Amino acid sequence: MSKQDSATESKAILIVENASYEYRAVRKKLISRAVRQSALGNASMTISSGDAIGIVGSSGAGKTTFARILSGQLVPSSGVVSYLGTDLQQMSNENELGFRRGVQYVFQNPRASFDPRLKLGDSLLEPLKSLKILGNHQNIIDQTLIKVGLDISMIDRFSHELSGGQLQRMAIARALVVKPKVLIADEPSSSLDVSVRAQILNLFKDLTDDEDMALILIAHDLAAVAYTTKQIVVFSAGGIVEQGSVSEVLVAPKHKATADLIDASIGI
Amino acid sequence: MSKDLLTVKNYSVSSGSISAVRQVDFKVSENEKLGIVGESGAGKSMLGLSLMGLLPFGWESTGSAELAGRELVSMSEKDLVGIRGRDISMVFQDSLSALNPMKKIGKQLEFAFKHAEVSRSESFDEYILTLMHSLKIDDPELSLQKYPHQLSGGQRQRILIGMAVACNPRLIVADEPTTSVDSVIQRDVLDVLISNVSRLGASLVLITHDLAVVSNYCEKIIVMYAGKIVESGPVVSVMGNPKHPYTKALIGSHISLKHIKSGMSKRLPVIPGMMPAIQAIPTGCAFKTRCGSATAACEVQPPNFLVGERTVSCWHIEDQSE
Amino acid sequence: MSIFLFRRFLAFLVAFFLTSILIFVLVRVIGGNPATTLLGEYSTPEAVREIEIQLGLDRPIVIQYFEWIINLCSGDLGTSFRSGLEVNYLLASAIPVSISLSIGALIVAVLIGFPLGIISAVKSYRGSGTALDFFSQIGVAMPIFWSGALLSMFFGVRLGLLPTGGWVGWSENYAQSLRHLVLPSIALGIGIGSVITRFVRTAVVEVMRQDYVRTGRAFGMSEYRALFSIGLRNASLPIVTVLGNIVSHLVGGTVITETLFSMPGLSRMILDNVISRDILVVQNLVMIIVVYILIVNFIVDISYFSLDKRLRVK
Ligand SMILES: Nc1ncnc2c1ncn2[C@@H]1O[C@H](COP(=O)(O)OP(=O)(O)OP(=O)(O)O)[C@@H](O)[C@H]1O
Ligand code: SF4
Ligand SMILES: [Mg+2]
Repeated sequence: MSKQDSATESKAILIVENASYEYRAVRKKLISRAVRQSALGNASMTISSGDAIGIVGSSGAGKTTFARILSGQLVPSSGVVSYLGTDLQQMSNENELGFRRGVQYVFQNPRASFDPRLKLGDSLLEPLKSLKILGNHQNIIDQTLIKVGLDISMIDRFSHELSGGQLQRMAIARALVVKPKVLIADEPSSSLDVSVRAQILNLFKDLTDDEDMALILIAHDLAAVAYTTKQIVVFSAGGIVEQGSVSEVLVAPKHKATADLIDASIGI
Repeated sequence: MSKDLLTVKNYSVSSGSISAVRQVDFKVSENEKLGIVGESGAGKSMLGLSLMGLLPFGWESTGSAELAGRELVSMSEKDLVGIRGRDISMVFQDSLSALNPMKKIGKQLEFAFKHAEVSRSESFDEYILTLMHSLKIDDPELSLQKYPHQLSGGQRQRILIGMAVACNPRLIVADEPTTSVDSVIQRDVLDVLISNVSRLGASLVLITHDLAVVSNYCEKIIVMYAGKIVESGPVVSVMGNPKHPYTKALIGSHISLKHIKSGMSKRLPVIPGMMPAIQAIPTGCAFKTRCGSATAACEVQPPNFLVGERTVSCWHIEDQSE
Repeated sequence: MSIFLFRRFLAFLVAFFLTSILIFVLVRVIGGNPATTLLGEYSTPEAVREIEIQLGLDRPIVIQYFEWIINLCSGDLGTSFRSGLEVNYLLASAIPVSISLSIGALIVAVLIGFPLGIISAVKSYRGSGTALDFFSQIGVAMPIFWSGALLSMFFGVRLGLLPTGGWVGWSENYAQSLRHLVLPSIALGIGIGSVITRFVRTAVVEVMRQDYVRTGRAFGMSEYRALFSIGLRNASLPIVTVLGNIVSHLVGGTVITETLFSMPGLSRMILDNVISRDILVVQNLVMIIVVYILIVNFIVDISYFSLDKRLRVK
């Protein structure tokens, strides 16, 4: 991912260069005053197909901000994000549709990310329609559900009729139906129970075998990330402080933040 | 063996015909740290709240729970007010909602302190600095003047611990004290909790779904499933050699760096299915729907078999060795 | 704090000018030419012209507006055309009546509203009891003219305990003033009290449901202590924000109550002038009520600010 040789360069999907971000918290009621808070400083990353990158760091380290910049939800205060060679800020409508299809996001809380009034099948159909995906939609949905280990009959249920783990699978399925090039998951398992968490992490681990898709998994739990992904990026105080393969990072951490994370990850 | 502080017998927490905790028995000795683990909905919080007499409306506890010789189950609200904080107190999970947003931290701590009516040689102002020091809060004077939302999650959680220990209780129930903070802060918070418990010579009931927390910080463990205790005993033996299929499965599905470092690509075993809702707990062993060793015998509720120092509620305990 | 005050004050000024323009324009559009209206059936072009000059209505409309505002601000409310008396003079006797009634009603409303609200909250967060809620619904829905009529029929006519209408000035005989105030205050206070009951109830229930109440109790606070030291205190914030709402209930209710009990207050004065078609006086009186409401809202904002200490911490 950080290698500069031309072979990886050609497969690069998403490139972030020197992205910074400041949150502007406006205090209401009293004096309206914009307080600028730097959440991310000069972060760069190249994501190529087949990558499985874990992003770790303590809370407030800038992981989510970075992920939201990657997925186009936030526009960086400075720096450039480009998708398949095009700057997100200068995209044509057509390219933008491609980007929205190509980069999918899975949120921490699956309950909050489904419309409770829709049947799950309709929730899954929605991205296929709005992103104008061709093909037999029903087939695509069925195949994806099988892939994430859900029963096909679940499409007739509502979100409250599923357990947290099932619903998170459904959220992953919804991201996968459009065959994204990059799948970003922000703490997808931390609202889930131990036994269910293992199921979800296994699912992500399976997804890393897909050479056509890049997976970005964000978590504060180093063990969960290390179990699932191939590479690890450590965030601390709004920046990337260390990156490398899982074994490199775990065996010989270079930065104190990494060492702290390893230290904090108490075992049984 | 030290004296028993809390003795719980045939204890249930129910609302009408449904029960969140079903006929549990356990003991907490003086100076002991007991961990309670289990999946979401196993009844851990309801058990903790019921001991405090703070159950949600419509819920009640039955059976017996004796704290230092006093029966909690039939205790009047007036007596409960007298023992809450002083004899038994609680650390709650979500520190932001558990603290009064309109009162300064200092004032909230002061209430807990003043309530104790313990004859103390020191005034609140003297005490508070010692306390803040033991909570590892830098710049105590400034922090005391702050409102909860101005502190970080880890700081707030430590303040809650401070409130729980301010009245010198004999038993502290901590319900998921670290689920809302990240792993680095988790350790600071737990260290502060444990050191304060030891400082007071109190006992601790630590409720969590994280097996690693219990195995690192507690001496005894209770594993709950669908309102029942399925296995309990010393942490070393239960974690080192689990007997109940559910305990085994929980430990198996736990990810830890140690395992990753050793066998990099090994797949985690998972427990199929999910825990039944309390309205639909099957008869017999509640785990039978997910258990690989289930047989016809499991249609009948297994009793708590004694295996050495531990209890195991299963018909098919493979080996009886410790 | 001072910046906050300044901002609120700016908002106050903006609201003042907007409503004054609105009233000014409405009076012209709906009321037509004040001079014609004033003269009614006796209007002849000459008479109208004469009045227009006398009242300054012949000047450009914008000038008229600013003159009106300047006069208002300098306390000159003009002269009642009919009686020839200065409006200020008339107000001096009307305003004490209206204020007495408002304060009386507010006292009744608070005496009813807070205890009932708290009791009903305690019942409801414990999961039982909607009877009180039911009564407060009735109280809100019951029109003042009906409750007022019932009250005066029973206590005034039937028992002969209290006067059913009219007014005696405070300086003449304060005992009599009080007696005259009782029934109207109750009639008006019941409705407002029910509104307060419901606000207090919702606010307290909401607070008592919070986790931090449970925390307080976990460290030995009794349920009642928690109710008073946490519940009511934290509920005071949402309650203060609806005070403005309550004041508009109060102003609206005062008009009806004054009429029903024939009290010579501000609303009676407005009505009298409407009947005598003295539109310019009506315009001034309405503006006084607007200013009153604006001031109350200003005070509500400030008390909200001083109650919510968190807002003050930088
Ligand atoms: N206020 C309540 N009213 C009704 N049922 C409740 C209430 N609180 C908990 N329950 C039910 O009681 C059972 C036990 O819940 P409890 O909160 O004790 O589980 P837990 O083990 O603490 O789970 P978690 O790990 O999610 O905190 C659950 O089935 C839950 O739905
Ligand atoms: S009793 Fe039967 S079903 Fe229950 S845990 Fe033991 S083997 Fe499994
Ligand atoms: Mg719980």
